Amino acid sequence: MSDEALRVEVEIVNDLGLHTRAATTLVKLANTFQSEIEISINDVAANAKSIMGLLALGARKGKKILIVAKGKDKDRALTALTELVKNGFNEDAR
Amino acid sequence: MSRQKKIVSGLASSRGIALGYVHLLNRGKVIIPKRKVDSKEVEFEISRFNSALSGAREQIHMLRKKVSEEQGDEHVYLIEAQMLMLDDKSLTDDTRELIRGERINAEWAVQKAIERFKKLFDRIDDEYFRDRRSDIEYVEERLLRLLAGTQEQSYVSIHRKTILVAHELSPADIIKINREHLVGIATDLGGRTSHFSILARSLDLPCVIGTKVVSQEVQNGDRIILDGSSGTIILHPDQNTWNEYEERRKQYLATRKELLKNKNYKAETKDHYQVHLFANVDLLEEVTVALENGAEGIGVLRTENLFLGGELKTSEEEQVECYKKVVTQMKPHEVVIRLFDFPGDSLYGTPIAGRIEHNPALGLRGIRLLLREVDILKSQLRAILQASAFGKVAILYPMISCVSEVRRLNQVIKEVMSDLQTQGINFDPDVRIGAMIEIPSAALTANRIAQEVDFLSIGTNDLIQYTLGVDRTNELVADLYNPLHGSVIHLLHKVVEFGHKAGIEVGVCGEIANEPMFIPLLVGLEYNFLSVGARAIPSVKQIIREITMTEAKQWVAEISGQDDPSEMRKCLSTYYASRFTGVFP
Repeated sequence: MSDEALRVEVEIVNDLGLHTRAATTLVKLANTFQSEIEISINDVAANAKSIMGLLALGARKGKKILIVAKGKDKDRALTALTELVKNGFNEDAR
Repeated sequence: MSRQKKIVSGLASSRGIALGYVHLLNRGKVIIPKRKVDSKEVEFEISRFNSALSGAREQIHMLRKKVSEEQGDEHVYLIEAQMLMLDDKSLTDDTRELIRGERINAEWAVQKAIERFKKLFDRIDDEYFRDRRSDIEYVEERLLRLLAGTQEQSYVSIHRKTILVAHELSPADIIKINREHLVGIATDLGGRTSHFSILARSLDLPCVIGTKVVSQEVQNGDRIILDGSSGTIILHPDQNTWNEYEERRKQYLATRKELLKNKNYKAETKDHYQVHLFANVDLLEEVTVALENGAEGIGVLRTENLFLGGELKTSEEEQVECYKKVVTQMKPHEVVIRLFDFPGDSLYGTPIAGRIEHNPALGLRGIRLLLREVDILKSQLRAILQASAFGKVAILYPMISCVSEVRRLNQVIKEVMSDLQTQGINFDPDVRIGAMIEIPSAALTANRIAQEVDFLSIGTNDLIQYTLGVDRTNELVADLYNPLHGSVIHLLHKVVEFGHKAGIEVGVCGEIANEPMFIPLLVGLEYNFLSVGARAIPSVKQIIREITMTEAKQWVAEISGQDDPSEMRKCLSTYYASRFTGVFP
């Protein structure tokens, strides 16, 4: 298996953006993977396992974020995280 | 569980209406010591930090259980977020790195590390995200409490509008609490001039005090309504009452907004007597509030509360930075910086001179303390003077009782100035000097004091308390605390006369300048400036703009002729209510 990084760009669709609740969900999910995962927005990058970093991105609705994963389970990680973001962190339906 | 609606009444101490959920404060003080450590202590500080971390995790774990049992899972994420923050390497590694690299104690390192994140958040131009800094503050507070070894506060209702309920409060309690969700304050004890009342007014938090019972009548999470204008608290309100008060709250805010329209007008009577309106400032965040409300400067910057942890020995650099910030922000207006006036009923619980004073209000405070602790005095003066290079600054001496103290202080300033000059450090050699007149002995000899300074500023709270021999925070005698007593009026009159004879300006920076009914009186006595809580400026200005000097003089004559101050007070407040409706919403 190559350890080249995988990357996907995805848009934030939920109303509140990557706020505390969403970031919490994201970090919890990211923590289930071994891969190094980075999320960036306009060249500012944050570790997907760091809630502080994620919150400091200030990713609002409509912003495009880049998810980069590197490591053994990068495929699964990327799929799961992309899914989560696309689904608006499963929260707008509430 | 729905309980019967109940009304509790107390003293109206800060106007406005608040609707929210109770947070009962178990009073505990966290003092944040900042110190350098030597190389041998580094590992010890790191281990302190590590055990605070695991303590915090444990607490959050318990809290998570409690919250999900009591409130369901809706808010659990906030707790989980705190957990993730504690686990966040970018925070924990940073803190350890700071302890090692900068050789500072764990408390200081935690603060610094978190400050970095707050700064990152501040850069985000979206208000919602900027607000997230408060989420980190909970973590910070928790760690600091653990490091201090004090009990943690259980923040059950941190995520929604909170009304702080306590038996009694110190200003430090308000300073330390996360204020973003704080909408009101209710206490059992205290008076309108207690320090926390003053602070509540300057922070624009509706506040009802002296209810005697409220802290026993409520539980964490109860819904309550607080009317800081009438002094009532409604416990367990039904939905109709809730909606009605929500409407009234909006109305109140609208009236205030209307008043703010006078922002760019002068505070001038109809017959063109101008009074300068300054703001009293305790906390940095009030500086913006002062400007928003049209303050022409800062009349008293109370330096005791400015520094986190309130240490008397705040470093010179820290002070310079802080004063500079205020001075630059207020430019071109003047900032009057009052020297440390740690009061007898000290904020921080520990007696300053290492001895318990039996009568602290008459004890070692203000310049009495500073003249003994000359190093502290000098470092504060150095800091203030350095800030004076960046804008207009004046220095105010607190607790003057004799002209000789003023002369000694002036001498110290001279020495400090010449030191700075030798060191080639910039400052404004023409900073103005003022004396607080708050002890009757100073008021009676203000003619001499006026020869040594550039302005006089009357601190009415203490002046009244010392003149009448009444403890302003003691409810048993609080009704005797009356600014309209003939002796007080006499002193107010004398001081202004002495000052004007010496050709200097005289103002009032005490609480009475915040009370609408006293404003015509102060105008009639020909005071040059009033320094009031920032939010009161538009109202005070409006009153001044609606009266004439002739009318104000009549008030003075009428009041001076009265023997019964409490009767007079009643008359005045009735008259006031009809004359200036809508000015103080």
